[in-house]
Amino acid sequence: MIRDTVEKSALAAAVLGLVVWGGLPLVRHRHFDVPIVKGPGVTAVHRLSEFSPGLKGTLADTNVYVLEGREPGGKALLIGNTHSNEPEGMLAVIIFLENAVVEKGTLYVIPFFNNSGSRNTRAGDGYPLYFDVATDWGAQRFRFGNRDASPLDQWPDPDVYIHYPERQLLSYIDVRNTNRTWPGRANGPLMERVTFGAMELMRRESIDVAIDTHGAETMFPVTNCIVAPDKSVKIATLASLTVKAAEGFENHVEPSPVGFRGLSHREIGDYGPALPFLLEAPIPFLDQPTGPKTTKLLLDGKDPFLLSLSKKKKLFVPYDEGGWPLEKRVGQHLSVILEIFRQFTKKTADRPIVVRGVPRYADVVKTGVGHYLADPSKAPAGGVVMN
Amino acid sequence: MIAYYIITAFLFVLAAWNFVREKERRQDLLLYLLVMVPLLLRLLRWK
Repeated sequence: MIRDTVEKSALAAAVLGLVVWGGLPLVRHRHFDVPIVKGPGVTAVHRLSEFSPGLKGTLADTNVYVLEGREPGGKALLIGNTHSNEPEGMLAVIIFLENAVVEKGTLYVIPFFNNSGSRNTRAGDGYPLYFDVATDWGAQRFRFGNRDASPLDQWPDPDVYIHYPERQLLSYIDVRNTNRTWPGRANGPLMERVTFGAMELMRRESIDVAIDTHGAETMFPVTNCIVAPDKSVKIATLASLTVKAAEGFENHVEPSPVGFRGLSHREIGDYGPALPFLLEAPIPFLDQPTGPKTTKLLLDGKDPFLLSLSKKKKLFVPYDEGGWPLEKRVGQHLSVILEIFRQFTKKTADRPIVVRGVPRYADVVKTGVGHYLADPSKAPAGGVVMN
Repeated sequence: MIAYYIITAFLFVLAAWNFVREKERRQDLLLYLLVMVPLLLRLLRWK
């Protein structure tokens, strides 16, 4: 009896030790904050819970930055990290935050839209917890998250997610996916409260343009594109044609399907006043048939298996030994966003959105993403916001 | 939500009871412990 108790206690202690050893890095990742330096254009910082009170006190609450222009004009919302394993969108909007000066109109920027997802990981897929971007002053570390919110913040999952309000049946996991829970509701599951907050912001502030930035697999047909519903398709097409002609990169237009509910490019336009756009840049890291999911693959997008598949014409984007590096992905997003603003301003002259100080595709490809990230240690007092 | 916590507690007690009663197979003891970990964390609401 005593021997049995001693043996079981020792086994339980060993398991507890393993749990602590394996769990501590995850706890640290969950509470790791990313500093963002308030750029010359940032005029206010709010919390999404001000628009959706059900988020208050949860890790799904997130910062909303306002860049109010010198002159009135149109208003735009930029969203990054809807999926926190697609960091090119988050980095593009952070470059806006740290560099943009708004001449006309107002920008609202949410860099960590699914904040809970950015503090989650996909351990079974061997995801890294962090990635470092080389800058002129050292390396800046970012959390690498997961597509979906953490089950620590939203639990339990249903057997089937019934979309609100369209009642379309979606996969159970999509109840934690902030690109399936649009337009959301004030008292729904946590991720519906996140999207509801953004909808409320757009309704209250009369946002004209909403841009949701993503990355997509090279083997997925909806990649390297602007997804737009009918109401935005003219501007999307003009932006696509212009960046191809003027900057030399492909970014075709995909129509937003009417029968697939819950996506930002669908519901933002159907349930609010804004013109929605969803930007997809190719991210080889997300493809299934790659080598190990390392930070190197995340940053340079080079993979021998994808190269072999490319030669067999199995990819939906051009792919060579150069891979698909972060600089190209972030640069594409920046140029397309700026071009959407330009086309919107041409079409709606009484609500102009004019921004300067933001690099374009060629600049980022030439000098790197990190060149446009500000050093938090050099920021003035109160100039850094932790995210 | 309360029902989910009741189910979690029930499964935890079931695994714990089996752990206490098991006398021979160490492999099963280890499995019971591993099964109990997420259930216990959920019950204690440790994040």
